Amino acid sequence: MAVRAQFENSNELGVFSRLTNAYCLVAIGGSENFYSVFESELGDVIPVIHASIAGTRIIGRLTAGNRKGLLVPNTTTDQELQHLRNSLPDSVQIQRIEERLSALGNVIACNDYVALVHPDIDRETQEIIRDVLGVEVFTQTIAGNVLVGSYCAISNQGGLVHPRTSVQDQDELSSLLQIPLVAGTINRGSEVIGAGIVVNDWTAFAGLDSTSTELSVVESIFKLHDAQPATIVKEMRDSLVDTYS
Amino acid sequence: MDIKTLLLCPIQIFSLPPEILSALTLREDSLKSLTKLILDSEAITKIKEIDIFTEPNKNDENDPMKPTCFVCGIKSFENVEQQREHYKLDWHRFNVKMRAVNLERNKSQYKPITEEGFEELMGDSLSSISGSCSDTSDDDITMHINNLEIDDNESSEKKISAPILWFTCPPLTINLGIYKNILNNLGENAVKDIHKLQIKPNKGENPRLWTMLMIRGGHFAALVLDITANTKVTNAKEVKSIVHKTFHRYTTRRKQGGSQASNDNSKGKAKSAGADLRRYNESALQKSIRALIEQWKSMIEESELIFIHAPSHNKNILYNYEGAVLKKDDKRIRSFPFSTKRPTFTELRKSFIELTRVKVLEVKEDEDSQEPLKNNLTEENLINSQIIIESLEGSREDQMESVEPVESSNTIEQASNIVIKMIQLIKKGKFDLFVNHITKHSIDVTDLLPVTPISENDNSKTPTLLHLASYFGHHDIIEYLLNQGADPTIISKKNMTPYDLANDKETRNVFRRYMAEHMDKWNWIVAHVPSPLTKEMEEEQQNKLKEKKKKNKVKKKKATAIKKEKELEGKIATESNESKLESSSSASTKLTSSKTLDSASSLIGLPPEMRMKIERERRARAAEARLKSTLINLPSIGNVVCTMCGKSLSELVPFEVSELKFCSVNCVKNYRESTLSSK
Repeated sequence: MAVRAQFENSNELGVFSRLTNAYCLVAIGGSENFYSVFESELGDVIPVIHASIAGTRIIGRLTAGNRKGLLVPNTTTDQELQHLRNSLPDSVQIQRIEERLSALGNVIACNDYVALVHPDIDRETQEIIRDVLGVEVFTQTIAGNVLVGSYCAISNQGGLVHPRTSVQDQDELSSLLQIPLVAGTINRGSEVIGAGIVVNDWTAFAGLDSTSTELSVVESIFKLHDAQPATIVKEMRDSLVDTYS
Repeated sequence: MDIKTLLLCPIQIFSLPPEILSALTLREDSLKSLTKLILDSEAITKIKEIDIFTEPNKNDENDPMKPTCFVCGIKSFENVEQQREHYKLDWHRFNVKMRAVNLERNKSQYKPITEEGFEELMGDSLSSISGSCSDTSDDDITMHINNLEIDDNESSEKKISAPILWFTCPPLTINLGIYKNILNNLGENAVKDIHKLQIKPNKGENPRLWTMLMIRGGHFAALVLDITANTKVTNAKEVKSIVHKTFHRYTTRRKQGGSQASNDNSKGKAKSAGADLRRYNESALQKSIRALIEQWKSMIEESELIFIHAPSHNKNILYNYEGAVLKKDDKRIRSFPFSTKRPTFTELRKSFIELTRVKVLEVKEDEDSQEPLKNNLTEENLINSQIIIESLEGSREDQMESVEPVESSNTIEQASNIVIKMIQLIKKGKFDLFVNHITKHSIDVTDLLPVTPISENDNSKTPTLLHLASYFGHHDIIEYLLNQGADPTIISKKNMTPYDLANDKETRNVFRRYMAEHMDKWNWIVAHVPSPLTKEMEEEQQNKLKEKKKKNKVKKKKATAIKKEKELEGKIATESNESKLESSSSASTKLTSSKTLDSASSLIGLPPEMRMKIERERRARAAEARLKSTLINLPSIGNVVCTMCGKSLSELVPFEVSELKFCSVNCVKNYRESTLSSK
């Protein structure tokens, strides 16, 4: 199910949270209402971790991660890193990255198998991404935007991309990522998809402004209608794991 | 027809000589480049068409989900694995980056670089890039991208910067260049266009109008001219316009640069008075320009061509407003294909000359046969017809000058040595030696200075001995040269006669004196000598000077006398003041009180401590004065001596007992004892 939520009167949920199949990070200092939305949806399945990165709350834009790992920028303090290490499941690798482009959430878009990255990202960083997140890394732009993380949201089921992405580009991207893609908006017409929505394989959180049409698109492309954590994991194993692992 | 005679005057596009006109053909290479350009543009449009229509159809015909990479222009991979491998290549990354860069700059289409092209581009550094752990790989790519960007700019500039179409006219070994912007058609039809442009002289044709507009940095200049009336102009001043108008307003931000409007748009409205001024001026300029264009509407609509220079936001002034006379897509509108200076009337006229003058490029035959014409197109070889004329003239002069020292290298050297020595003598101003030298070698001073192999002297500046002498200001030599018959009317390349080169008045007077004596010998107007200077005039002038000096002397004397008097008066006044002071201080208390009042008034404005100090001093002075006065007054009263011992009391404070005065305590004691004993 796609759920609407708001972080302190801001609809940009993707800025203040990071959701993967194995954990969920939320920014500290938000209202309890915000956390409870996440807790109620995810609480019994994956840990919901209150965290800050480099003392800021824009953790969604500064981090990138999936089921296998979490990447944090080099501005992350040791305490924060320790806290994350303590709170994350043991299976999740955490890595601090020395990269000029420190807003990793903006320059990396990934699911559990593939990642799109900004063309300016270091080759070394690309290798770290590949190793830590266990993904194949592709350099690509979305509708001409180099900030791939900001303008798309992808899960293992599907992806929502910038509304001005041409049909060709969508076809190309979906063949590359091997997931269905749709161009659309969130938060009543915002094209900054990555900031407006956080999504994993069985649930999605969108800004409070999102229209029901937008939510229905989200639900259909991310296949959230009857998604349950268990079934997802099972499906995944069946369809993908033997191909890529 | 001979080239030289043809080139003697600059050719205008409206009046090409018939010989040239009939033989005029577009040069092959420019044809090629043109066709290539056209082909390119066609290709681009085709690509666009493909993008929009044909490509999806193709995809429909084939497998619609065949993996692709549009960024690199790869239409189909065999499978997803290939595609994914491709996406990890540096080549792909390079193309993605380039496309992003192009999008940023709003370029419509990015042509992806091919794999071979990329390998070539990277050259040796390719291996280091694919090496996984190299730090420099990234820098390499960005560096290459930056380089490519620059190349890109250059190439695009080159495309733009070939604004001239080159034509040949077979019997002659010259190429003619004409600005594309004047012509309507490029390619084969260009020649027809030129034929159309021709204006037959002495035929009452209908007026053919051109409009020219320039707006930049708060300056606006516009004119409408009839090209039939301007067929033979060679100078900007000769260009006749039907109407012209310029506006100048203060709109650009000083020091920072840029217009106020653009600053307002980018940074928000500035609140300073200057900003308000500029804002007002911008709108006023826009209003007046639009009003003017409206006024000239009929003429502008009749115009064959409209040349407009209005960079960036200045375009908004001309187009896209209600009732706009000019439309952006008007085919008559052309730009100025060269850089122009600040929009002024003269600049417009100059641009007209530049636009209509045919560029002439001489083709050397041997070069032509051996090398392709490519070289000739470079800008260095691009010669304006005027320059050619100059060089032709120059060569003619050279020939004339080099007639003398023809025989052998020895004699040439000797001659040049003589000349150099002569020049040095003039520079040093050694008159006797110079005269000796000239008589010895029997040099004709009336001749131009020959060009010496060691070009120590600048012949362009001082072509004759007279020029030299005048420049260095040696009067005796000038006089001698003039008497020998040297021509003062010869001009240097900078249009300077010897008189013009003279640095001081006395040197100029030498010329004027000579002129007075030989009024008819030379054309003195050509020699730039303004008026003769006869002996009488000189005497008169000297007399005047003397008188002036005398007057000055008298004036000075008077002034000093007055000064002295004043000083004297001042001294007397101060002395009298002092005496007054003394007398007044000794006089009645009334005066002093009034004085203190005065001084009190003068003391206002001083700090209180100072005031106290000054007052205390003053009081002390007053007390002293009083004391003095009492001392002075004493003798008049009598009792100057001690009553006992008869000692003078003038400088003592006396002891007084019953109105008697004593000098000391002892005297008082003695007095008392004496009085007691007497009782």
